[in-house]
Amino acid sequence: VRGPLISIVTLSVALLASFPRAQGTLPPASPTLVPPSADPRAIVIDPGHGGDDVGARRMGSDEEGTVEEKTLTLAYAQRLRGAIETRLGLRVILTRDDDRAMTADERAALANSHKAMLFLSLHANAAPSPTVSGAEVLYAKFDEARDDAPSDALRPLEMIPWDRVQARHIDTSARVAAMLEETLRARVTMGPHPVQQAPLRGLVNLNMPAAIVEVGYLTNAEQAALVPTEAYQALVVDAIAEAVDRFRNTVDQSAP
Amino acid sequence: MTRRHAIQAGVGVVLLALLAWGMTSALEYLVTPRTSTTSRLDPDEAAAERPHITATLYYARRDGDALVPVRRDVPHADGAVAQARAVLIAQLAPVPSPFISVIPMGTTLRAFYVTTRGDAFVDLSREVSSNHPGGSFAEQLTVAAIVNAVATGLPTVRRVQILIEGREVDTLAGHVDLRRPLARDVSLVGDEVQ
Repeated sequence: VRGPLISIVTLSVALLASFPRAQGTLPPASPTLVPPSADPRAIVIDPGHGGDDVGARRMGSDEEGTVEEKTLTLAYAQRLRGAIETRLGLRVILTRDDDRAMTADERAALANSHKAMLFLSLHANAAPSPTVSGAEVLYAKFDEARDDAPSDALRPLEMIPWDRVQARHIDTSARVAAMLEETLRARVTMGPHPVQQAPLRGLVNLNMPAAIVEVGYLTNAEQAALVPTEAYQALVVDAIAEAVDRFRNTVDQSAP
Repeated sequence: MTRRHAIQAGVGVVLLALLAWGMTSALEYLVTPRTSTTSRLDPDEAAAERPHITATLYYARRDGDALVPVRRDVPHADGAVAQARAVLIAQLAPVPSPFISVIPMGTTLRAFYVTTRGDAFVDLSREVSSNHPGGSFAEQLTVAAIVNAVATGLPTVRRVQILIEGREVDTLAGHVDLRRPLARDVSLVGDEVQ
C-alpha cells in the first residue's frame, strides 16, 4: 500500500520544486503557477481613458478648442504603433483603436492573453498648479505589509492573486521606466517627478513589465498647446520607440 | 383718602415695579452664561476662544509641484475618531490663497470610521470623483492629502481607504488604486509651512 503513496509524494515534491526553476531569471520569492512564455515580438500599447471617461482636459478658448486626454492618447498610440511596427518589426496590440470605454481589467485581460513582453500605457497629465509641466513615467507600487498576502500555509500552491500579478515584474518595470525616462529626457522637458512609483490601478493585473508615460500637462498653457502638435508627438514617439528597442535587446540577451 | 395719600400710594407702586424690574435684570445678568458675551465679539476672537487643536492639512500651491503640509487650527472634538472627522472636514473645505485645495469642489464627508485593525474609512460624496480634473498627478495629490490628513492626525490609524457614496471604488479618476486601504505617503509632500 505504501509504494504508490511514496511515489505520489515524491512526484508532488518534484513538481513543486521544479516550478521556481522554470521561471529562469525571476526571483524565487515570487514564483507563479503560470510559467512565463511571453511573446518577445508582441507589445501592448494602451491609450489611456476613452468613451465617457475623457481623462484630463484643457478648456481652451474658442480658437484653441478643448483638448481631451482620451483623444490625445489614441493619436499618440496609433502613431507609436506605426513607428514600432515599421522601425522595430514588433507586433503591436492596441487595447483600443477607437473612442470607447474600457475597464482596467479588460485592458489587462487583453494584454495578458497576448502574452506580450511589454505593456505601455499613454496618458496626459493634470496638476492643481498651472506651472507644473513636463513628461513623466510611472510604474506600479505594492504595499508590502499587506495582510491578505498569501500565507506560508498556502505557499506550495504558488497562487498569485490576480490583482498582484504585476508585483513579480516590478524590478523589470522599474528598468523599463528608467529607460523611458532617459530616452524622453534626451528629447523633451521632463516634469518635476520624472519617474514615480504609485499604486496604479491600470498596471496591477498585468503579467508583464509595464509602465505609464505621461506625455505632458494639459493644465500648463504652454504644454497644452504643444502636446497635440505633430512635432511634439514625433519626439515622444521616437523616445518611446528607442526605449522599447533597448528593452527588447535586454530581453533577447537574457533569453537562454 | 386724601389726594396726598393717593399720590403716595401711586409712587409706592411705581417704586415697587422699578425694584422688581431691577432685581430681575440683575438676576438675569448673573445667570446668563459667558458665551453670550463672547458672541458679541469679533468672530475671529470668538473662534480663538473656542477650544481647538492644531492639525496638519495638505494643499497645493500655485507655483508648487508637491503637497504642502500646513499647520492649521481645527475645532477640538472629544475622542480620537471625532477629532479625525473634524480634521477631515477642515481638509475638504476651501482654502485661502496662496494655497490651492486638491479636493474637488463640492466634496463632503459622508462618514468616517476606524476598524479595530487600525484601518480608517473615509466615505466621501460623489463630487470627489465627478468633479475631479483628472490626471494621474492631480489624482495622487487628492488621495495623498486625504490619507495623510487622517494618518498624521490619528496615530492609531495605519491605513486609510477612500469610499464614495458608501461604496468601495476602483479609482477617483482612473489611476490610483483605491480598492484597499493605503498607508501614509510622503513621496509627494514638500516642506512644512506655518
